[in-house]
Order: sequence, then C-alpha cells, then structure tokens
Amino acid sequence: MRPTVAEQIAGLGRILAAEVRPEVSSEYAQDVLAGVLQSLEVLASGLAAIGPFLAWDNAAMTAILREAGAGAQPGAGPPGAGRAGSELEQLNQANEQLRAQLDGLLAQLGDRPGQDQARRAIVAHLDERASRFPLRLVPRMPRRPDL
Amino acid sequence: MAGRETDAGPPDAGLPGQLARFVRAQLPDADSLKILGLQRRGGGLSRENWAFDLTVRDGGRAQAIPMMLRRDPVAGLLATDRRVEFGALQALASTPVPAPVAYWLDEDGTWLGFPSLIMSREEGQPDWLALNGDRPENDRLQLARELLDHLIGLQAVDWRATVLAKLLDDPGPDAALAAVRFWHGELLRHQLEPLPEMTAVRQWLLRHAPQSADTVIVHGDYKPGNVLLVGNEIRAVLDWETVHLGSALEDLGWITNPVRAREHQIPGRWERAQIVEHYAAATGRRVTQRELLWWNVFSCWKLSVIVISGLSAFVAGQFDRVHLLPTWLFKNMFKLIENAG
Repeated sequence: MRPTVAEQIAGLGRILAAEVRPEVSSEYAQDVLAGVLQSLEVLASGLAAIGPFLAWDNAAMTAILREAGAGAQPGAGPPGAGRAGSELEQLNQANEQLRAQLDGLLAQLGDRPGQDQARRAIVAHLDERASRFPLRLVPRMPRRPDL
Repeated sequence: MAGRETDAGPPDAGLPGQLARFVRAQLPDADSLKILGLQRRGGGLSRENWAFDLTVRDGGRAQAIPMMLRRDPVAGLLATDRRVEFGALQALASTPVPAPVAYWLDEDGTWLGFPSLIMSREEGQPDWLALNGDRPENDRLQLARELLDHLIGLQAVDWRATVLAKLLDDPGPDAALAAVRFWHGELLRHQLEPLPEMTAVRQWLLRHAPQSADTVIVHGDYKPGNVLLVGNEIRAVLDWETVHLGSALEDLGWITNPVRAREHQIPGRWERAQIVEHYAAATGRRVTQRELLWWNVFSCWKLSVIVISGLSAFVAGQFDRVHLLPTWLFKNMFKLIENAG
C-alpha cells in the first residue's frame, strides 16, 4: 500500500516543516510544533519495527516467567494468540499482560535472599528492551525554557 | 484593562480581563492600571508562563513594571503547589540567592481560572547549554562555579526562620525515602501501563536509601536552563515549583547526574570530581560516592516519572508536548546501578 503509513507520516512532517513552520509566529506554538515534528520523525523511522519488537519482547518475557516458575498466564502466550483485533493489537495486548506479570514477579521477589539471579535476569531483559525500543524520543530542550 | 488579546487560542481568551481584575484587587488605591503585551512564553514544560508589563499611575507618577504570571495548566508534567512556590520566592527575598520578587498569589484560581502567582520578570535569558556553548572556556568555568555557589548559598538559608517552615514538611534523616515515596505517588497517579523498569529501580532505591545528615532547601530542578543570564552574570534562579525540604545531596545528585552532563559539566575542567571537591570545601559536608550515586539514580528515576506524567497528560489531550517511554533513562539507571555493585 503506497504511500505506506511511514511514508505518509514522513510526508506530513515535511509539509509541516517546510510550509507551516515558517508561518508560525507565536513562540509557544513554534516550540510545540518543533516537538510535533520530532515525534513524527521518530514515528516514521520506528513504525515498521514495532511488531517485530513486541514479538521478541513477548517471547523473552514468557521465557523469563517460565524460568522463574511464575509461568506466563494462558491468555498471554503464545504472543498474540486467541485475541481479537489486528496482529499488532494482539501483540500489544499480550505485551501489556506479560509486563504486568513481570512487574508482579519483581514485587514477589522483593528482598528475598537467593533471588539475585532472577532479579538480574529480569533487569538484563529490561535493559535489552530499552536498547531495542523502536520509538526512542529524548525530549528536546526548549528554546527559551521556563521564562 | 488588558492591552491586547493573546495569540494563544480560545481557552485563554478570558485571561486579559481576569488578570486586570486580579491586579486591580491587589492595588485598589492606584489611580490607573494597564496591563500591556500579555503573551504566553514558550518553553515552560510544567506551568504556563505569561509575560506582561504592568503600568501603574499613582498620583502624577507612572511606573512600568515587567511581570510574569505563572499559572497551573489544565494538566502538565507535575502537580505542584503555587502557594509553596510563592512562599519560596518570599523566603529568598532577604537572602543572597537571586530570585524573582513575589508579588501576588491566586492560591485557588478564584481570579485567574487556575492557581497562579505573579512575580517580577527579571532581565536575562536562560541557556540550557551555557556551560558547553559559545562562551570562552574560562567564562564557562567561572559561570559553573557561580552556579554551584548559588546552590551552596541556597542550602545555607536558614529555612526554619522563613515561611517555608510552615509550608513544607521536614523529612529529617529519611529524606531519601520521603523523596522516593513522593515521586512514587506521582508515578501511580499517571502511569498508563505496567512499568517493571520503574519497579526494579524503585526497589533498588528503597534497599539502598542513605540517611540525610541535615535538612536544606532543595530547588528540585537546578540547571542553567532555569537561570537568567545577562552576559556571564546570573540575574535570577527560576522555576521554584518543585522546591521542598530535603537532603543536601539531592540537588548535588541532580547536577552530577551523568545523563545531564552536557548541561552541568565542562569536559576536563568541571566534572563530577571538581564539582564535589568545590562543594565539599565550601560547605564542609562529607560527600560519599555511594550516597551521591544513589541520588544520581534517584534523579534519573524522578525524571522518568516526570516524562511518564507528560506522556499521560498528552494521551489525555491535556498537554501539548509529546513524550514517549523514557528508555534512555532506563538504560542509564541500570548502568548506574550495575556500577554501584
């Protein structure tokens, strides 16, 4: 399907930057528009990677939960199975459920002795997840902050 | 009377009139008052900032006073208290810490729609990258020292003798735990999805929280971007919205946070070691790396909560800035914790 969603987003960003931005006079609106353009760039470049990222994350979390004896809940795996909506929506729903289970596992482990390895495995995965996250946006510094 | 309408859109259409009525109520004896040039300033991430000039004629004399209105937005990054910010400005008025003059407070938004304060508009420009911008290195180094000296001056303020003693709680030796509790509350108010990253780091923070030796005024977001500069001179420290009482190491941890090194440090000249050395010599406080590292991790975690709050407000259609999950902060927190052993 052309233009692809990513192409459309990139094109909208280009139009806003070339045609709209020069006409915006309010300082506040200029700052907001700069943030919008930055976000469109992130979306256009990361969109295609979201599905594969979620599939990888879901598989890795399922393995960690099984290893820890927590076991992924039936509704959560295999990733995306048995849910309504598009494949991406299914992956996203499964991801949220698995992350909730991982969060619960962390709470369960708490300060219990002998659980360092399990905690380390979870943090190592979360660190890897942060590296692979396809929509990375570091908020830009305002041109004239907090005046 | 308002000088002119703003360009900020319909939700603010009533502001010029509201502001005129509020100022009139504060200065009932003035012969005439005019509010000119009311304009929303860009950049403020948490509060609305509106600049205007107030012209007061009392008897035969007319006086133009540059002012700034800080108003709570419908939603923003932080839910802070204008009453506390106003109190901080009042408390600092008789100290060497340069800060705007507090004029009037609309505590509950009766006059201006949302809780607001009006303060003096000081001369100068903020520059987030003043320490790594175009200035000669020696000027930047001097500026870096002065910034730290003002922070040290803030910590030297006898807050018990100011209005802040009534407005703020003293967390005492448990300042670190109190800070985690406060920001965890903010996180719970805003998070839209499970965030095991935040849980993992919070658990580490709770396990390793240091005791605080003494309680000082904490700015909460001390940085060159919150300072007004005229040339190389610091005219005012701004943005007191997250001011609170806490550990002396909290602001020090904020400015030595490796994630923000580009804002706070000068490579090779003004790095973590030099900052700590200067601070320790000036204050006589002992700064251990273990404690400072804890406050560095906390700074990243707190910043993550702020970003997540902005994300939530954006999704709710109440905030004009787009924020996404702060994965760059997650990575840095994990790295700092790993280095802590």
